[in-house]
Amino acid sequence: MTVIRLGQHAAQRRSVVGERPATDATKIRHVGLLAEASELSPGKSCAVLHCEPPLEVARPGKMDAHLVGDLDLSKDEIEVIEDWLADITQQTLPTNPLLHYVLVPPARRAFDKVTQRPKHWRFSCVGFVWKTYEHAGLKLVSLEKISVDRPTLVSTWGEDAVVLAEKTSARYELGLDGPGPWAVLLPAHLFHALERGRAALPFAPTEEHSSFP
Amino acid sequence: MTQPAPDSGHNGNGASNGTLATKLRAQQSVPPILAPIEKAGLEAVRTMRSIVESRQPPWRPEGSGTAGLIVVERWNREASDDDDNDNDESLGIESGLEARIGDGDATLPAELIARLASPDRALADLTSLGETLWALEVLHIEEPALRKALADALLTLALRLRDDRRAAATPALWSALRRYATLIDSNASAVLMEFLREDDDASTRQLALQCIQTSLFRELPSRVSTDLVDRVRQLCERYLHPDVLVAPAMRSLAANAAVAFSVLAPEEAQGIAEWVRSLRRPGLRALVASKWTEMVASRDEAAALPLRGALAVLQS
Repeated sequence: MTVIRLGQHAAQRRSVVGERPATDATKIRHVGLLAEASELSPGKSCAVLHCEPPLEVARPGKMDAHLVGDLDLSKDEIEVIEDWLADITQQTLPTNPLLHYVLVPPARRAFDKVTQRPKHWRFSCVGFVWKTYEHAGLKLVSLEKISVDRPTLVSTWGEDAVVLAEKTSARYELGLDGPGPWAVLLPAHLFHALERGRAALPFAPTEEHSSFP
Repeated sequence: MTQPAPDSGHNGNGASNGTLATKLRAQQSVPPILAPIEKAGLEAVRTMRSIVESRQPPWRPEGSGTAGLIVVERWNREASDDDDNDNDESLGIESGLEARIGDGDATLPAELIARLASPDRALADLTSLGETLWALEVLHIEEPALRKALADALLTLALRLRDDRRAAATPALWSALRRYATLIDSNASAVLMEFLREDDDASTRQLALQCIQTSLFRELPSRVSTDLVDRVRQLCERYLHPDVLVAPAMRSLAANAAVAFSVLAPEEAQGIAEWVRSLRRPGLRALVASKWTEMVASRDEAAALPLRGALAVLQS
């Protein structure tokens, strides 16, 4: 079992922390990486590295912990993750949060359109965790077949947030174009992957995996 | 142009002493001068912390966190409210600027570049300068004359910001350099030497090394500054050592030096790959591999060839 029910034992540094919305105990609305190994209490705030937005990696931010996924990372895997985080620290700064945010794909570089040279990274909260683990050779979820319809997004983030994302998608290149469905990586997808463990990675989510458990 | 200070134990001219990999192998048993490097690493961490602390974004909620989209919603609503109050600095952003970016306002690039024309005036208000710089990082600017004017202005500012001790100067410097590297001719990266001095923070050096990679992201160099190659070679010699690679910040710095050197001197990329592999640090190896992989995917076959070969060695 790689998804720890909180209060059972300490979670490992860089485990994946999930936060549920107040209205639905089956959804997960936010994820981050646990800043330090610690015992987490359900619903209590904990220190994480995450893309709220803005991206917070130089100094931990905070989020509520409702569940945590722990793959029992090896020393080498943690080193790879730490070095990646050190490398992106100067690539992103807490300026305009939307310009560091993206929904589809969940992680990508922004490029200068004339020289095609890379600028800064853009992540969703899920994309930041997914990309960090992918860098360590742990591809949690396969993105190829993800399809999330509008009602599912609304049930995860609420109607107002989805309307706002739709309205501003073109302006900020968030990737939420057209009426959907969209290839939005959801926090719940990560936890389904973590629960299945290493042998089953990458996990290929379907519509039924928008909730957890 | 400032010349790098001589490095103890190295003559700074590795080209005359065989390949870098050979030199690194030969000096494996020689202890590097660790104190200044570790000091630089600690300074980098302190600098970053102070920056983040001083620039805690106003839209960051107190207490528990919230989902990205929820924060986005709050931020946008407040930004919208802000439209009625041009002087409200509660969000730390300029009213209406994001909207003008999003709307593709064609007059905005020239207007923002003009703000940088007077460095003294621009530097007087670092908050406003930071906002202008991030906007210019994001804006699509196609007209060659504007791109040139922007590059010139960014370099002038970066050289001033480099020695500015105010906390907000460092992120502004990083922003200016990042954008500068996307604009310049691929052979014009020699000026980045100015940000690789021994006096510069490790974090600024790391960004300068990343900027060298950016400027040669898609192509092979055709006219490379010997001074720049020598300086980056010197940094590789310092950083790619087992005793230095003890912290994530130092391994990241070493990876960026290695990749910067490989794009400046592609004929030595395979030697670098051999050396990085021999150091047996998985994080360093993964970082170098990911950067080379990204470049290979973006280059044409001829330009990708040296890095493709280096990748094969690294992953063998």
